[in-house]
Amino acid sequence: MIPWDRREPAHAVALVRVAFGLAIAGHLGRMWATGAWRWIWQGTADGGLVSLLHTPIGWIGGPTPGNVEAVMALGIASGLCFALGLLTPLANLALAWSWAALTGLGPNAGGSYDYLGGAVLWVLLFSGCGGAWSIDAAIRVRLGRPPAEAYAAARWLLCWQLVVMYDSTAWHKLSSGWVPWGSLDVLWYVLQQPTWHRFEMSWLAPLYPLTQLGTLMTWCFEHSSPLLVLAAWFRHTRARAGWLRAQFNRVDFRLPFLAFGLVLHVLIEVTLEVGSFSLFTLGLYAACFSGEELRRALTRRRPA
Amino acid sequence: MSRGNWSDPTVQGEFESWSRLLGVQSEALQDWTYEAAVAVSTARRALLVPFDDYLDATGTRQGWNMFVGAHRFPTRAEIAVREGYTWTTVFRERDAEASWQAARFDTERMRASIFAWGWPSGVKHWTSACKTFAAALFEERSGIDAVRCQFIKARTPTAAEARAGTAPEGEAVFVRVVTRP
Repeated sequence: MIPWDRREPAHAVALVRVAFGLAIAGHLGRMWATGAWRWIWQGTADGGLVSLLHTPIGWIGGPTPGNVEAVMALGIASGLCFALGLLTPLANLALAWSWAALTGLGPNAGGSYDYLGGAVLWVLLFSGCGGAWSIDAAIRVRLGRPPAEAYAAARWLLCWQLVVMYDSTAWHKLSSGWVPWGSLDVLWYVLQQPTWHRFEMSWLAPLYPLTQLGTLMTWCFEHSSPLLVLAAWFRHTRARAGWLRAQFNRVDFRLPFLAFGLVLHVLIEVTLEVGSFSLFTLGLYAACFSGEELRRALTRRRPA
Repeated sequence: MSRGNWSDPTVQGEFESWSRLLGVQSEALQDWTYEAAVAVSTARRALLVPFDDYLDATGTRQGWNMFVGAHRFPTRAEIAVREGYTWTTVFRERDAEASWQAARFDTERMRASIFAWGWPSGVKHWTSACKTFAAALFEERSGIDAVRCQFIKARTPTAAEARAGTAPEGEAVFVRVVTRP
């Protein structure tokens, strides 16, 4: 079992921290720059498009234009501080609250990345993610104190969150266009949909069989995600006996799995507009490796 | 969950495919699926009640229904203004020629909203949004006397049709017209 107080170098959760801090600051910055927030996060009396839902912004008087602007400013500033690791726990708390206060306001005006952001930020709050690659950590070093370590249990929770997300979305994909015995045409149709694609993609028609292959591979990839946490666990306990553990540890399953995921998310990002989803998900990939593994890998690559 | 959305030809096509595969009537499969989904949703809802305050405060719900199927009959939002007797399209999704407020419409949150409003369950919000679009356009352009918001719903061409350069005809749905007060 995972001892809840077991510590490890903070490098893995620190990478997750940087990814989420930058992605959220960038996302809120775009909402601000385009003015889209005036339509999405304002009530109809203030120029918004639809009636809003209740969120923690109600604690400060509701989504008035001034309040929404203040929470967005707080979100952007705390996102940047969080990525830099400046006053990390405070920035983390402010960012998680801002995200919860804003993203639930507009009915239908969001996506699964809203939930992913919320879930991950609250776990990071208790992870010790400011212990590496942060201004806080640099200050500790300057003060002659040892680097702060992170809770390994938090990283395992983040890895589990990634698997829950992938596997759950795979079980939602029951359309006849997704399943291997079906038409495997979902990718073709998604890429033709004006709501989601970045640019017109009917030019893909001669490559239709490739989109079918992509559909099948995506479905298999997502369904195989539970093996990711199993592989990480077998890697973590590789000193123990067992045939299955030995087989898993002959090749590190995490590497091909995450490499496929990286390609998939880069292609999604290039062709579709789905918000911060890909950045969030790729950020979580760091949680599939222990802080020790990441630190070792980076130290090995550092020139002498 | 809205059963009204099941009237959409994309959803009906899914049920047709599965009813053929399972060897049952499509209507019977839809009734059974709806009853099962209502039962599961009700049970899930009841189980989550003790956690509602926590989930609302933290925004940590788990919802992963992403691209669950192929939307074969998607919608494309359009906004047009009338000046005299002439309608001019000022916005059409992913159209550089009709790009009123395109920077806002292009954000992922507006895309998600418009996707939802193109289903029967989203019409209420589409109607509300159209009033805001109209108010903004009336303020910007003094010569216009009406604003029309609608979706063009068309079957997406298959790859073979796209190769042949043919595209199915679409039809206007959820048409809303707001006249200058």
